[in-house]
Amino acid sequence: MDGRGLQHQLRRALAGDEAELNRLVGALAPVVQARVARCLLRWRIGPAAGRSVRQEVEDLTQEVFLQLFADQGRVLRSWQPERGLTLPNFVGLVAERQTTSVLRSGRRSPWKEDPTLPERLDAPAEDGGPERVAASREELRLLLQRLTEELSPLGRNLFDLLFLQELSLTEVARRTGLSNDAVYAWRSRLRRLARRLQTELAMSESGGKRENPSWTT
Amino acid sequence: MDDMSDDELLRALGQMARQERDRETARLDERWDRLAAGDLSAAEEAELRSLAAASEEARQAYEAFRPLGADFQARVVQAIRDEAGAAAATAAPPVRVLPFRPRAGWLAGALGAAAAVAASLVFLVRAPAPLPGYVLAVAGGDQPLRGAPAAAPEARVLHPGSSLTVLARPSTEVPDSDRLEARWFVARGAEIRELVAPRKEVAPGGAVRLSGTLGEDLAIELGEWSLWVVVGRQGRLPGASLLRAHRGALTLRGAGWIALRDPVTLRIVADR
Repeated sequence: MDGRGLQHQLRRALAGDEAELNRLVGALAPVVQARVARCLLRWRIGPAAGRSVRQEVEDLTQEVFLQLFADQGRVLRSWQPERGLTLPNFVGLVAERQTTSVLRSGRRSPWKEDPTLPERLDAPAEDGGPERVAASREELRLLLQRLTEELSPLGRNLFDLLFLQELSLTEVARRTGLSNDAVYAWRSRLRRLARRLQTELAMSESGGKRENPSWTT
Repeated sequence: MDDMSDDELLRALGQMARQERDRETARLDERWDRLAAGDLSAAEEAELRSLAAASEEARQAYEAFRPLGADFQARVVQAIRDEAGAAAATAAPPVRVLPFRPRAGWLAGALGAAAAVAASLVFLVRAPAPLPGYVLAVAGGDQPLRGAPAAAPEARVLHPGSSLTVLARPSTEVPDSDRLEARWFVARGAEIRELVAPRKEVAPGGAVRLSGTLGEDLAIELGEWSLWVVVGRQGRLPGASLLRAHRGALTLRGAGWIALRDPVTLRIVADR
């Protein structure tokens, strides 16, 4: 189904059409599940963590859906197919952000016996090397994770296009339907955000200050 | 990292993102996504099963990616509808727009203040945010806490004098945890019984602990039971009929509550 068809299906589901809601959840569930599973497995320590990974996947997948549909589907309504993200990709980015946020903030949960994200982040870098380099890599990894939490799906997509795929401004503009000026403004915004998060991290070594932050960028 | 320019910092972040993506793709290729979608051929699924049999890491991946199924989807749809229903039930009443009166004087001020108070009340009675995910840890009889490195037992055997303790821990802190309550139930078939919880604690942050001693302050009939724990905001907990209707589920959610079933059977025996 094309973007316009999906938008139509989405509108009907959000308007209370039960059959469309069932179809939509059925179509998006594997996407959400796979993103949640990847995030969980990326940050889990292994079998010693002791919890059922299946139960965690189910819980987090359901949480993502509740977030997508909260406030009359506010998050889903913010999807704009003309910006170059398909609905599954958009929903996948929401799932990744939500899961990352839950895993990171989970360190503050009382009686928590099997920590996940913080310990993994504090572990030595896999590539080894001088201590300073390893520390920098961990700082970068933590910063990337905070960026993932902070960015809207559109912001994260622009970060991926500009800095992960290293596409030109013109190409990014073509793919997202934004003007060159708008992409340029986004690049500046991403710079400022990365610097602000880096400063916050430097000021708070313990991290985990914010819980489920709202999208600012 | 501090001495990097803004551009260098973003380039380094992009490189880190690329490395993480490549490492993950090498570890979990696209077949796992297709497993979740139910799009694998029989041969591909057999390959993944074989990997799962050979390593703990792959076994966990298989558990995480195998399709969630129609029952799970139905529960998600129900949870979405419950949340929407709760929000609608507590939504703001229609606000009547007062006509502008050039010389309304103190009355307009009073009406304005009353409208502001009404608006703030509407804000206060909005539907509560959903609870985060919870994880159960159960200790009973001679069995260790589930969550310890040892393999989970098939059944938890309790006899008179055995203690039973349940910890339900949220994945993130619950901000209004002072308004949480918890109940626990045992179920077999269509039979559901609520247990008295002689010792019940709700910790700041939302973790819940329920405990009792069989034959002393806890009464459960002989036989095999499933153990359910329900945590939610006061006045929002579901009745036993809902647990009965979804007796095969491990987790159920609704507006402001979550129910968790211990996957380990509770076996009540007369003697040690």
